[in-house]
Amino acid sequence: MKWMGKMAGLPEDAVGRIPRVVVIGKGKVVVYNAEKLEQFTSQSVRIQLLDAVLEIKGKKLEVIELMPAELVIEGAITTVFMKEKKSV
Amino acid sequence: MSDFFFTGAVTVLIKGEEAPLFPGRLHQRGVTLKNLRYSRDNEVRFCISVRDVGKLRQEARLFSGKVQFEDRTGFPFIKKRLARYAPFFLTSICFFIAMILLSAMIIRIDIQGADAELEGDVRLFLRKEGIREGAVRLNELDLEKISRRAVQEIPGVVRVSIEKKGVAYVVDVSAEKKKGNTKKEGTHLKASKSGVVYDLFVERGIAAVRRGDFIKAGERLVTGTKKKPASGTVTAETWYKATVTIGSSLKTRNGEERKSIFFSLGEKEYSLWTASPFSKPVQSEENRYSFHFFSYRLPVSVRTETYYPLKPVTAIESKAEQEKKAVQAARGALMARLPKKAVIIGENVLQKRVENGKVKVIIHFQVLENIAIN
Repeated sequence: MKWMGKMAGLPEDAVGRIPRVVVIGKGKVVVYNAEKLEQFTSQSVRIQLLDAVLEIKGKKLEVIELMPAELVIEGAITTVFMKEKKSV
Repeated sequence: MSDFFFTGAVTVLIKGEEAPLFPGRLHQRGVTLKNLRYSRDNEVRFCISVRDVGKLRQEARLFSGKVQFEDRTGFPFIKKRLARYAPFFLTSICFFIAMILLSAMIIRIDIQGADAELEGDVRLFLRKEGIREGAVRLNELDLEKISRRAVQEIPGVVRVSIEKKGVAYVVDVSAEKKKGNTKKEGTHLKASKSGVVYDLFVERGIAAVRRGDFIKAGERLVTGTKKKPASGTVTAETWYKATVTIGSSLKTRNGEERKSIFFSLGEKEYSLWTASPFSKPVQSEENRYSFHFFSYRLPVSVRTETYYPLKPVTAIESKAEQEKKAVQAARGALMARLPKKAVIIGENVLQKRVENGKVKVIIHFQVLENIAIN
């Protein structure tokens, strides 16, 4: 898939279910193609991506929308970090 | 969000140890969630579409904590609630309609300043104009126009003012002062107009004229004494001259009509329906319908404009026809001016000429009427 995209000259995120994270200011994070919302509290949200885990920390976090392909988080966001998944 | 509104949404409250994990599980089943909010003590609140409640149930069976439905929003629920209160809404709508109709109804017509006979005339005229007790009038009447017409059509009336006070009309009539009443009763009967005496009926007094006499206005007809003033009727033939002009280019409506409807809310006016314009010359009529709730005028009103295309009368009238029409028009106008008992016994066309496309006819009328006044 990836390769086909490269051949066609498309941006990487346009092909297949490759996750994309957009941070808008301090208050909003939009995650496309998230695999699973693992854990959700008002302080931290853990999202499982294709081969990584995205963790967002902050205060009064809210998931405004949780759709199959899109996830919108709002709140006072302090950290967004991604780490590679240990076990496949 | 709009999708949630139409399908109906439920707010779900999840309690328990695994509550933070629950939305994720639902998400994996392909459910769309909205407004996820975490409160302390492992409580999660979110909205889901009614469609997805089945999936929520399946997931809830595997879940150890508590699942509660809290709030129901959206169109289906509003509909259900509305259906429950339908009788109430229906009756209130009926009430409003009844109130609006009653507010538009004419409950009373007060006529001031007229004696019984004149009052009857005024009422008859108003009835013809559509103002009668019990009539429901939604369109506003042009009261000034009606009162102007009233002065023309009701004999013996000088001024009419019509005023609308809520559901009552107050008509103020000033009657023409009868000449006989104002003056002292004279002892003799005099002629009010010049004419030839046709018939005499003397109740009291001695006749000073005979049948066939020519009499000038003001001449004495019947002599009376001071103790016994003369009374009676003297019918005389009098003459009137009338001038009528008839436009040769007579136009009539051809039966077609197109209506524009405007709906106004407060100051703004919206057109509900616009009539396509006619190419022919057009006559238009405007009607305004407004709604009252008691005496308070609702800001909603409807205005209609009706267009009637005109067509020239194609049939070329013969001179005799034109003359006949002119005589008829003049006769009608004269009849309205004459007292009720007067009779038109003859009419002659004196002169007829065409002036810049219009026919001008001068007609002479012979009328029998009572000319005796005190």
